[in-house]
This record gives sequence, structure tokens and C-alpha cells, in this order.
Amino acid sequence: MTVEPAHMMLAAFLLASIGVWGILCRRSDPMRCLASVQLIFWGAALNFVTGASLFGDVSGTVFALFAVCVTAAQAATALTLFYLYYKKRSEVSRKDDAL
Amino acid sequence: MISAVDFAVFVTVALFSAVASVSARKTLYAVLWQVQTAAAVSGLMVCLNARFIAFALLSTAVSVFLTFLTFALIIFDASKREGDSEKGKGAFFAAMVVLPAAECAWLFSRLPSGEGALASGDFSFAALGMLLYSHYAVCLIAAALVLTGTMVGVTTLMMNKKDDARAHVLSDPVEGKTELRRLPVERRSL
Repeated sequence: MTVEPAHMMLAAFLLASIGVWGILCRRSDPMRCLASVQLIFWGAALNFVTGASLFGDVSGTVFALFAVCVTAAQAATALTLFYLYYKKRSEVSRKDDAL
Repeated sequence: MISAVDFAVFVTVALFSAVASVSARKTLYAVLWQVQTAAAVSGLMVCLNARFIAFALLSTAVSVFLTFLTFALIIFDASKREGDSEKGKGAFFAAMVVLPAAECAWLFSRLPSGEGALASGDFSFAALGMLLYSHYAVCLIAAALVLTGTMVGVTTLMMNKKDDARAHVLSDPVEGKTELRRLPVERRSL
């Protein structure tokens, strides 16, 4: 028995759906939101790779590579925001201590 | 396409890990499940002969999430929230090592035989390179600009020393207390 492209696309869809569910359910937790967004990106990348394998065209792989790049950029930005939030929070607590 | 066994193994692991990463209560466990998901998705990509993308995805995911894990543990001070037994923690971390190792062993055992297990024809790096720098040159430049812009923005935000210095002067507790102590004396002398 072989796996049809539809099965792979269904798996990618389920992965992206879990990501959407994570964003909707865990909105208050930025870490989980980031993880859920990554799941959506990975689902999209898996879809691209499946298409590339199905049609024998490397273009899908190229777009999957771009999706991975965008994910890395998004993660770096989120890390910076985390850092700034952490700095601001410690600043506020130090001000409270001083008062 | 790949065989049903490969598909079943990697999809099961990927979906279960994804659900676990979203629903896990602790950040540490969520991050480790997320890395597990990345490994399973990479395995699926290897089965589809996209080995370079699989490597890129796994390396970025692992580096990003380990960095985040470190930072999240610093911010949320996870050491004060420990509630699991030592046995439970040991079993979890053993599973987190054993599961990716089992996936790698599975891939290695399937790759040489290749009888209907993996797609035929090797992924060509030369073809990817040619395509990237010919048909998708504009997309490549756009992606490079996005990444460079991100790096510049991140560096600018992190190196904002002016704000750092001002915050230090305003919020130094020792300075603040000294100022409060000095104030009445100065008023009396006036």
C-alpha cells in the first residue's frame, strides 16, 4: 500500500489545524502562540514539499525553504520582544523596590 | 510517494507531539514536544526526498526552541514551579531522547533498502541552487532582505544603550533611597 498525496496534505492540514487551535486556546501564553504559529508554517512547508514531490518540480522545495526562513525571522523578532518585555518588567520592579 | 508504514510512523509522532506541545502545562515540556514535532516533520520531508529542507527545518527549529527555552526559563523562573517527581522527569527526558533516536534509526534502516519505502531519485542540490539563483532570484533577494532587516532590527533593539543608561539612573534603588534620605536635610538647611 502506498500513500497518496492527499494523505500527506491531510496530515499537513491537521498540523496547521493544531496550530490554529493552539493560537485560539492559548492566546495568553506567548510561548505557546509562537509554537502554534510554527506548527502552521511547518504544515505549509510540508504541503509545498508534497507538491514538489508530486509534480517532480523543485519549486515547491524552494518555497518551503522560504517558509523556513520566514519562520526563523519571526522567531528572532519574537525573541527580541521577549527580551524587551523582560527588561521592562525588571525595570518596573526595580522602580517599585526603590519607592 | 512514501510507504504507508513510514507515513504512519512519522505522522503519528508529529500529530501527537503537536497536540502535546500545545496542551502541555509546563513550558519546558511544551518546547521539547515541539522539537519532537520538528523531528517528525523532518522525517516526513526526508521520506519525500527533500533532505536539505528537512535539515534546514530541524536545525532552525532546534536552535530557535532551545534559545527560547533558555529565555523562558529565565523569565518565568521555572525552578520555583517544579512539581514533578524525579522519576517522572527522568522518564520524560529519556522518552525525548529515545523517540528522535528511534526515528533516526528507522530512517537509516529504510534509506539503504529503499524498496518502495522512499521516493526514487535523489534530491539534487545543484538543481535547487540553479533554480534559486535563476527563476527565484527575486524571491531569494526578498527573503535575504527580510532576514537582514530582522537582524538589523533585532540588533538595534538590543543595543539601545541610551534607554538602558536612563533607566539605570531612574530606577537604581540605592540612588533612590539616598535621594529620599537627603531631601529633608536639604530642606532644613534651606
